[in-house]
Amino acid sequence: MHIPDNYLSPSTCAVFTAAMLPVWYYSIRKIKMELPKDKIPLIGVGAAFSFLLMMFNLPIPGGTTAHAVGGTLIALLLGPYAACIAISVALFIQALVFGDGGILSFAANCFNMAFVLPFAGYYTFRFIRNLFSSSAGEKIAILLGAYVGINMAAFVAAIEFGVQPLLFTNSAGQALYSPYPLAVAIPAMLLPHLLIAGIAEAVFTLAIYEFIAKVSPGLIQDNKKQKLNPIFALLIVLIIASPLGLLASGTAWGEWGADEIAADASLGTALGYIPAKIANGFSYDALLPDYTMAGMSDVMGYILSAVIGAALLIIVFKIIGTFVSERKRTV
Amino acid sequence: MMNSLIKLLKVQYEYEDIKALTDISLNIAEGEFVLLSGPNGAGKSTLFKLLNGLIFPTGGEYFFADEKITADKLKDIVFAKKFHKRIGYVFQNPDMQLFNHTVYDEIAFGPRQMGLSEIEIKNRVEQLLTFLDIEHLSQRAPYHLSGGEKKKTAIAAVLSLNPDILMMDEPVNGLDEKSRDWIEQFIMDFSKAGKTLLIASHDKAWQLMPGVRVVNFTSEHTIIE
Amino acid sequence: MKEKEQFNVNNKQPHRDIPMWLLQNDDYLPQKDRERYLSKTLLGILGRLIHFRQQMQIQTESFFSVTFKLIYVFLLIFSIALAHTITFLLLLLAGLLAYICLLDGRQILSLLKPAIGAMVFTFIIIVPAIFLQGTIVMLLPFKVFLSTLLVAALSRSTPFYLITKALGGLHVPSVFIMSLDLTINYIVLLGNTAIDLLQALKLRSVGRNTGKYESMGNVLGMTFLKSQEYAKQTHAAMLCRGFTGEYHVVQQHHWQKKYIIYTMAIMLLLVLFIHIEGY
Repeated sequence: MHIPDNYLSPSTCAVFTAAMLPVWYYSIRKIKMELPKDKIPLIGVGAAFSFLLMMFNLPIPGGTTAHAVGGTLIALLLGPYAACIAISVALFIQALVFGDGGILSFAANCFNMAFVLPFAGYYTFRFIRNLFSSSAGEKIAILLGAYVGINMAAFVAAIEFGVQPLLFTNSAGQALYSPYPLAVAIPAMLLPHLLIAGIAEAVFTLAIYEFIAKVSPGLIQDNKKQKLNPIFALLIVLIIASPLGLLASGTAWGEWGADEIAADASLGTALGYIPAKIANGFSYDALLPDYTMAGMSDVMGYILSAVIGAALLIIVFKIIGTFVSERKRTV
Repeated sequence: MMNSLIKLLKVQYEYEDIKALTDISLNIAEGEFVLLSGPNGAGKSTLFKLLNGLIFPTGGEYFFADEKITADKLKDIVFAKKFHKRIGYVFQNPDMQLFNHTVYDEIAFGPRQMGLSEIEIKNRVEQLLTFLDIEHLSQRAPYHLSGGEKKKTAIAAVLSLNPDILMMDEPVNGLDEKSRDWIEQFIMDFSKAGKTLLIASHDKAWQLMPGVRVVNFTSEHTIIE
Repeated sequence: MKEKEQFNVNNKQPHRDIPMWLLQNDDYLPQKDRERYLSKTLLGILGRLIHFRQQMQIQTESFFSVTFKLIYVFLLIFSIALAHTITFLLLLLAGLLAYICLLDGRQILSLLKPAIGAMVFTFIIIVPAIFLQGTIVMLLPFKVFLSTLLVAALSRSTPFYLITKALGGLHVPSVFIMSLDLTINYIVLLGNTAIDLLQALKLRSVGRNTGKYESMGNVLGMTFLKSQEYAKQTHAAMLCRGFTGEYHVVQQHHWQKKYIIYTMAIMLLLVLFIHIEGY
């Protein structure tokens, strides 16, 4: 769900940064007011924990593995505001140190995973638990909260992707950023989350929560202070639901033809196409001569090609060098 | 002569250009009680990891029960599981070894995987609880136990696999005197019963234990007998 | 001599009998089971921890200040995102390749791996769109490659604590920065905890584990409880050293001649971008 740079337009990123600034501000204020001082270091620890959590691979029936984000879990344990800051910090490190998720799209990623996910998960949990207060009810509330949280986040991410071709195209009507319309982006993002990642998140959240509840119940009761704020919950629902209006007015992307065909192309059969198209489509060697001529002088293009070529050669040999020296080492 | 269980031939290990083990040759026969002594940072913990197949020698060879242990061989899951079952390793820090809800579950974790019947499992766990004198902790969470109790739980959890060799890294570190005495006594009894033991400790007093074979780790990351 | 006596006396705490089954060797053949989730997780965490360890040992001497690097990388990524033509991107590619070919092979590999990974991933995602939109979307994988390479190059040349310090200079709230600092430390600490616990799980996974989810959940739950302990201890330690709830990042700015060069570097980038992109 980590959106890299260039999938979203800089203006979209700016919008999300503008949206996240008050969220961060309010969360930090909330934390300063409500979280006891001795729990402040917990935010950093929570961030480290969520960072690790994303590396834990869960076995999924059928032989694959999936990992969780843990947003709902952290919200359950530390409250949604602390979860928001903790996950933002984790995302920041992932973006900056590991190139996981973009720099410009950092705020958008935070919006999805540090805002929508923990808050939607947390309030879904509270809502369901208030309906059924039995212990089975709590389990279901945790499972559903985590499941709803991560799928909401995926859904919002899909909308961010999906509106790009509606808003940003060049004069020929071609997309400048993410090229998929909502009709493709939503099923493409949601299906894997509904079927795999969502289940992983739900199962994981429950398993860890139960472990902590059994071993150290005091930790969880501490967090019962927060009250369900219905207005706030409603606001979130509205924010999340508002792009649905876009969906309903559906003519803008009708021109891409039958939704099913487009969706099929982006999911199942995508791999089947590649080999045939690579041959005469895009290839790295062909790209250079084609495009260098277009924008700059011959001399400039020549120099540029020379620099790239020479640098590439050096890099290739240096990489080969590491393999040779590593082999020597093991013998 | 007894069968050789562990055989290290000029084993080396280095990571990120730091030498952790140099030129280590060691033979441990069935029924032996070997004490690794030496200063902190000499490489004892690294050696335990290597013996448990968590890391692999960057030079030299490691044989367990005459079978050479390599990364490739441990990719065979059946082989790896059998190998892990035959070595019982008690971590220096029991906090890092216990992850179940109750002491009972902790001890039953291994036997359950081995496919023993529930009656047999219950039998094993209860005998171990009695043997280690921790019956009263059966339903407690290991997380909340004292250091000595955690250590006993970790030992029981490892013994429930009935390993061929029991390895303990600094078994009495950070324990109070009563727990220390208990563990020392346990080690001697266990050795007397003919079980194979490999213990690391920098406690000089242990070198005087009956039947012990002392192997010294030097600060050059190698061993002398 | 006193110790010798101690060990010869065998009546301090009379031991109960060793269970019979412990004195016999089992003849045990394990069942097959899936283990990939465990080894994948272990490798994943180990890899990242090694990265953090290397990150902390980076040489810090550099002509360019961290704040400048941070701003410059941000500007570059911004211009990559805005670029409509491949010319500008090729120019950047040439510059970047020229920079990384000065590094040694292993470093190059660690930069190229994530960048190429991100590019290939983007390419696969984008393939069906070629039919809808033509080749213009092919810029996307290239842009992703450049951005990822840039960020990787930044993180490989700058230790993280300097980045948080620079952020402090840019007036990022102190709670955020403190969390960042703590997070970096704790990722290593908790990572080691998680690895130890996972190894313990692995060493005792000697057969068929019917509760894999539960075991993984237990390991993580335990890691979380440990993190609570660490956090409490950190807070106590901070209090002892006079922590009052505010976290200050010390940052001093003096005018230096090299700022002229910084400004020129930024101007050059802007001029090139505007010229090539034809704004």
